[in-house]
Amino acid sequence: MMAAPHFGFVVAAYAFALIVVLAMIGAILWDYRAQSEALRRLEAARTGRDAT
Amino acid sequence: MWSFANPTVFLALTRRLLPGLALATAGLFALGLYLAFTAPPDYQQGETVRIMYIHVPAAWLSTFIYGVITLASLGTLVWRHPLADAAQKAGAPLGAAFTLICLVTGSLWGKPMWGTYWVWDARLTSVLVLFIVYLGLIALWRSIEDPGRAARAAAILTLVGCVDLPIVKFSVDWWNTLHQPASVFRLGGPTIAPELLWPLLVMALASTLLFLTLHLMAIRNEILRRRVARLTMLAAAEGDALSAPRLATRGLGA
Repeated sequence: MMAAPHFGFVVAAYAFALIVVLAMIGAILWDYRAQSEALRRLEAARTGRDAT
Repeated sequence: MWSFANPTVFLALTRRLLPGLALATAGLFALGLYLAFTAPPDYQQGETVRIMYIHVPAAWLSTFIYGVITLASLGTLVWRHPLADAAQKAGAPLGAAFTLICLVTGSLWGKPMWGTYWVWDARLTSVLVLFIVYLGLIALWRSIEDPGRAARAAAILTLVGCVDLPIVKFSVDWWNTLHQPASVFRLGGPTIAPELLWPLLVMALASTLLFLTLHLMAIRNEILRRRVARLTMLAAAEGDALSAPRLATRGLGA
């Protein structure tokens, strides 16, 4: 299979798709972490203020 | 059904659904890739036909996601529902990413089969226009600060961009193009051999599940972002000793 002509195009296509999919997953997970962290910080500050 | 449109209920639902969806997506991709690389090569295209197993699902998703965003846009314009806003905002980058995969893998398939990476043919050009519309939607969301106004503007642009969908679908029938006509969803049944069709269908299902999983995750992020924005404004309004001065400094610096 790997010796077939144009197999490089197949590898390049799958590699590109993999990179884009991993970038999508990474961006969404990173965003989730950032928003959860910000929400936790704000809720902690709010709870602290309400307690005083 | 409508109870799921409540953001809090939606968050609880995604928490339960996401692990199973992610697992099913990974499993289907493993099966799909195994079938794709053990399927026989095409009698004309040889091994190059294996690009089809990622190109075609990405092409289907590029229009399917636009359809999802269009429905969400109607939800925004008709019911002004915040979850519809979040769904259309979360869908645009995913649609752009799958359309990019479709364009690049198609180009990599075109070079050995047609002798060129690109031609200004009706199918290729209409998909490029779809990609540009997706980028326009992302830019619009980023350029308007008020989420309600941004959602309405993006919804209108989405509905205008809808005109491109039938052009993408029927371009191969309406004009003479290098691109082959529909060979799976057509009257008279698929023209692809079952040995090649089954891996394609499994990969299409895996890609659709991937989109569904990522879309739910991205909608969840949008709901959290709105909560963060609301709490930040509340903190600033109440003269929070920690948050307000930081916001004011950022505002002056901008």
